[in-house]
Amino acid sequence: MKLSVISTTLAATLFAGALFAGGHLVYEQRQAAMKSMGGSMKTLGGMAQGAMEFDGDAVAAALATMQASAEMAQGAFPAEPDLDPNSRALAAIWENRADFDARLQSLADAITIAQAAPPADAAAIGAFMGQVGPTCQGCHETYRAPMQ
Amino acid sequence: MGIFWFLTEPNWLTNDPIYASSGDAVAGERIYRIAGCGACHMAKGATGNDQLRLVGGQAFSSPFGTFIAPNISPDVETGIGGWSAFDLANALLRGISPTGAHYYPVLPYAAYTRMNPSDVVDLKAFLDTLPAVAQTNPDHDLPLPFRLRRGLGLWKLLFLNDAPVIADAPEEGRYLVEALGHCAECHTPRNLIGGLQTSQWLAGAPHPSGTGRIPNITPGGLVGWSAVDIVYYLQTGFTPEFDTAGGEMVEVIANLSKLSDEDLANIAAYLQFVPAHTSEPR
Repeated sequence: MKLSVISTTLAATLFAGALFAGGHLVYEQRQAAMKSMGGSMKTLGGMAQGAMEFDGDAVAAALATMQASAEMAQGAFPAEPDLDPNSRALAAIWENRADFDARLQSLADAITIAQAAPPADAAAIGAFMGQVGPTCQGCHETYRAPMQ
Repeated sequence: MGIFWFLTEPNWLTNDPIYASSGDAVAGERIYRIAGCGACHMAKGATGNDQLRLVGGQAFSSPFGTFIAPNISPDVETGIGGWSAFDLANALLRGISPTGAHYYPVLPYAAYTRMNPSDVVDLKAFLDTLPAVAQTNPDHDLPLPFRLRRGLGLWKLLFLNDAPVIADAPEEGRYLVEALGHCAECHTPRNLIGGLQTSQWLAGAPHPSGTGRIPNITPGGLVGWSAVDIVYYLQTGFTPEFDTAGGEMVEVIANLSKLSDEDLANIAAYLQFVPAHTSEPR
């Protein structure tokens, strides 16, 4: 257990370092945050689908990375509109800032709760994915531009 | 002028006893989910039970102007409560209102024209179970010449065709994608007058709002996606890389995720069968 806590912490630390190296522009930072969020979701999704064997340590590490990603993302949407041709963030974020922040916070909260009692089998991971998926999509529906 | 009037006459369906039969509302709900009627006809941003109040009013911008979705709740005055199943069939399969006016093809009758009459009857039975809500919506906001509906008769002569597009594709999935799901309406590029370019079937298209693109969903676009991946995406909104659906596709997934595994597997089989188009380099 102690080892798993240490490895989880280590993973999160390494990950934070990777994020920092991911780009110096603010939108690059949020893109890096979303990318690692997706990477962790892929680990969890693989286990939920049965394509990957259940591994409690890997679940904990994925959740820790997601937590760090969510916090990183929260810090990477500045107060003033940050629009760029290379970013899919829409102006609507800054027009409805309170709603956007609340949605991002609800994602962070869902991850925090899951970390306190991590899913213990594939079905539980599936349930967690089913809960978080609509949160991801809810934001991407309103606040992310279509692919270029 | 006389020839124009003749060519643009509404081309009514032939009435059939099936339209007088009583539909199966449970079967109709499946049709409703696949077609995703609610995504356009509910109030913008509606959640929970409000998604079943089909009051209309959402605005859709396009190169031809702004279209406003009508009220299709069973309200008799402002919705379609007074319609027969045959009226609904003429709207969906031929794009004709009960009074004989042409609907704009923003209502995807170019796809629904391939619908089975019995599915229209079941859909009508389901729509009749939804809440009747009185709400009058603004008219479409279109410049000339698009404001004149009569000309749509010519559009229909050119583009309204109930033949299958990918004739040798597996039939179940073909019906779900080409007819009910009307996937091509967004995922296939259009020509200058809004007809689908079937030579680029499902190969992706510019987003009608003017920014960004709608993805290529042929095997040339869904590179590395297995049939299982496609089904998982339609159930959960997660791509194989665990990016998620966005934009209009979120509502589509909300509906499709309620379908049976069999329906979703049939959609996946069709998408894996269609000719591959490579995505344009950008």
